[in-house]
Amino acid sequence: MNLDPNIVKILYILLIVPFALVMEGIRRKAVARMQNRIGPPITQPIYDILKLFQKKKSDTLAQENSFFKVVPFLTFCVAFSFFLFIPLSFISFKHDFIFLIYLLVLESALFVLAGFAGNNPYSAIASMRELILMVSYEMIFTIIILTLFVYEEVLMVSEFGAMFMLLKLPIAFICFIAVMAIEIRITPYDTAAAPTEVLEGVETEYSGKGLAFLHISDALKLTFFAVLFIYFFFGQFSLPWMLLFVPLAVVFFSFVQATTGRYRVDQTFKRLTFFLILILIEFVRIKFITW
Amino acid sequence: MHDHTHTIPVGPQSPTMKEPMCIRVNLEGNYIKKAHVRMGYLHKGIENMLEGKSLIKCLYITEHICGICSYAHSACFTQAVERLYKIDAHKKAKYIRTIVAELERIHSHLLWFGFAMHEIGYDTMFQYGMREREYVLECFEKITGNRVIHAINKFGTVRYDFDKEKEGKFILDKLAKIEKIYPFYEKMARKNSVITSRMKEVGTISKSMAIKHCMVGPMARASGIKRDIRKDHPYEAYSEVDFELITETAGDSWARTMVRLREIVESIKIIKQLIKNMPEEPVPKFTKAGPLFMANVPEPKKTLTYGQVEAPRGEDFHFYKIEKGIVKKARIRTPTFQNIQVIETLLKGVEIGDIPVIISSFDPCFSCMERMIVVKDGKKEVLKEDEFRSKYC
Repeated sequence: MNLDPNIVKILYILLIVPFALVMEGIRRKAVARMQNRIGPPITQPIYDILKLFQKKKSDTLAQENSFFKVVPFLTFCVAFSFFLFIPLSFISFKHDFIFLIYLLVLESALFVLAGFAGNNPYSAIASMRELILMVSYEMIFTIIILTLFVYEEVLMVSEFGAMFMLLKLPIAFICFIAVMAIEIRITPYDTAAAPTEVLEGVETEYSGKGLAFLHISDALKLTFFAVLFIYFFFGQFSLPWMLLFVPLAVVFFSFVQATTGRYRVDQTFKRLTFFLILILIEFVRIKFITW
Repeated sequence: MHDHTHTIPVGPQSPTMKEPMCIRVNLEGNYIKKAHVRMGYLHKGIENMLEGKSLIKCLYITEHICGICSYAHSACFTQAVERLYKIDAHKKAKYIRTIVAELERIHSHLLWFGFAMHEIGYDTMFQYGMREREYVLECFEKITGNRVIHAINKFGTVRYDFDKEKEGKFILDKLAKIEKIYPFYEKMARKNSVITSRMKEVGTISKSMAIKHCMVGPMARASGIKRDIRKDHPYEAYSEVDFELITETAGDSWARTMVRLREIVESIKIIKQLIKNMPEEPVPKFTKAGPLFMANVPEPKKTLTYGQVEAPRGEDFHFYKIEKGIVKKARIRTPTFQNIQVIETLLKGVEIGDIPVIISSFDPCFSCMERMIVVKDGKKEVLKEDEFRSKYC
C-alpha cells in the first residue's frame, strides 16, 4: 500500500496528540498494575482533555496577567514542535542538535513562567524548585547529547545512526534516565510537581483550556522522551517498529515511577551534581577509551 | 527594612493532611521561620454528646469517636464502667477483646505506613500497605461482623463468641500472610535510599523533649521512653501474654516508622498466644436484665471513674462521672492531643518538603482530638483536686 507522502505527513501531524495521550494512558495503566490496582482505561487522558476543553476558565486574579493566558498555549506549541525533530523517512526537518537543546530548555522555561504567572504561592515555590533544578539538569542533558554526537561524529539529528548505544555509553544511559525523570516529572525526581508538598505545583491555578494545554504538553514530552530513549540508545527504527517500542519505553518509565519515592529538592540537587560528574567523566572517556 | 519572608497556608484542605488542620507557615526562602498551627475544623462536641445519656447509648457513641481506633475508645468506656460497677468481665471475653485490640493496632500501623509512604511519593508502598490491611479487615469481619466500627464490647462480656477452630484458624491464616510479607517492609524501611534520606534526622524529638511534652505511644517510644499502658497498667488479658516493648532511641521520623513496623510483629505474637490459650467455655450472653439496666448490679457509692487503654497511637484516657446509669460528665483525652503540642517547635527551621513527612510521622487523628474550651469572663483559675471535684464533678 503506497500512500501519498503529503497525506502521511498530515496524518502524522494530526495523530501526534492522540498518540501522546494514549501513551500517558499506558503510563497510568502500567503504574496502576504495578501498584496492585486496576487503573483507568488507556483512553482516559483523551476524555479528560475533551472535558477540560468544555470547562470554563477559573475566576482567579491571575487572569489579569496576560502571561497566564498565553503561556500554556506556548508550552503546547513548543512541546508539539519536538515531534518535527523525529527523523522519519517522510518527515525530515534538517536541524542540528543544538536547536533540539534550545527547544527543550524553552519548554522548561515556559513551564517555570507558567508557575510564576499563576499568582499562587505554591506554584511560585514549584517554579523556584524547577529553576533550581534546571541549573543542573539542563547542563547534564546537554552534555549527554554532546557525548552522543561527539562519539558518532555527526551534527544533525537525522544523521545520527548507531545501534545499541547503551552498550557503548552506559554511563550516559544512566544519566539520561535521571534527567528524563525530572523532565517528564516522575519519581524519584518529581520535586517540582510533588503533590503532597506543593499541591499541583505549577498547575495549581490553571483550569479549563489552560490546564488542558499543560496536560497535553506533559503527555507530548513523555512521548518525546520515550522516542529519544529508543532513538539514541537502542536504534533508529522505522515507524511501525517505533509504534511498538515507544509504549515499551513508557512502561519502563512507569516501572521507574512505581519503584521509587520522591527526594527532597536539596537531595535531588546533590544527586544531580553526582550525575553531572559522571557524565563529564563519560565525555572525557570517549576521547581515550572506547569499545 | 524589607522583610524577605512570605506566609503560606498549609491546609485545611491539602493533600499533606488527610484531616483538616491549618498550619500558617512563615517561609524564608525554602525554609520555615515560624509555624502557627490552627485547629478547630472538626469539632464534633463528642463530650457534650455523651453527657446525659444512658450507658448503653454512650457505648455506641464512643464507638464512633474515631474511625481507625474505634475499638480503643469503646474499650476505654467499657473499662471505666466495669471499674465503677465492679464487674469482672469473663475471661474469654477479655481474650477476645485483646485480640480485637491487637488486630486494630496492626490495621492502624499498616494504614499509617501506607500514608507515610504516600507523603514521600512512594505510592506503590501505599497500595501494598492497603493490600495487607485488607487481611486484617477480613479478620474483623469474621470476628465482629463489621469491618470498621466493630461494636464488639458489652459490659462484662462481648457480643459474639469466638470459635478456636473456625475464627481462630481464619485469623492465623491471614496473619501468616502478613508475617510472610513483613520482612520486605522492614527491609524497605531500613535499606531504601529514598525512605532513609527523607525520614532520618527529620523531626527529631529528643528524650527530654518527649518527657517535657508528655508524649505517649509510638512517638514516645521512638524517643527512648518506655511508656506503654499494656505493660505499666495491664488490662484485659495483657498480663497473661508475653511481648516485647519496642523502643528506638533516635527520635526522628524514621525511628517512629521502625517502632510502628516492629509493633506489628509483636501484635501478631500476642494474637497467636491468645488464640492458643483461649478458654473453651462460651462467653456469657448479654441480656437486657444484665448490667446494662443495673438489674443485678448494686449502685456504687462512688461516681467518678476512668478508663486507660493503649490505643494504636498511644494512651487513650477517658474520665467519667456516672450517676444512676447516666453519664453526667465526660472528658476524653486522645493520644494525638498529647503528641500534637510539639509540632510548632519541630517545624521551625525545616525545609518545606519536610512538612508532610513530619506531620504524617505524628499519625495525627484530628477528628477524635478536637476540643473546645469556653473561657467565661476571661478568668483563669488554678484549682486543687478537691476544689475541682466540688466545682466541676
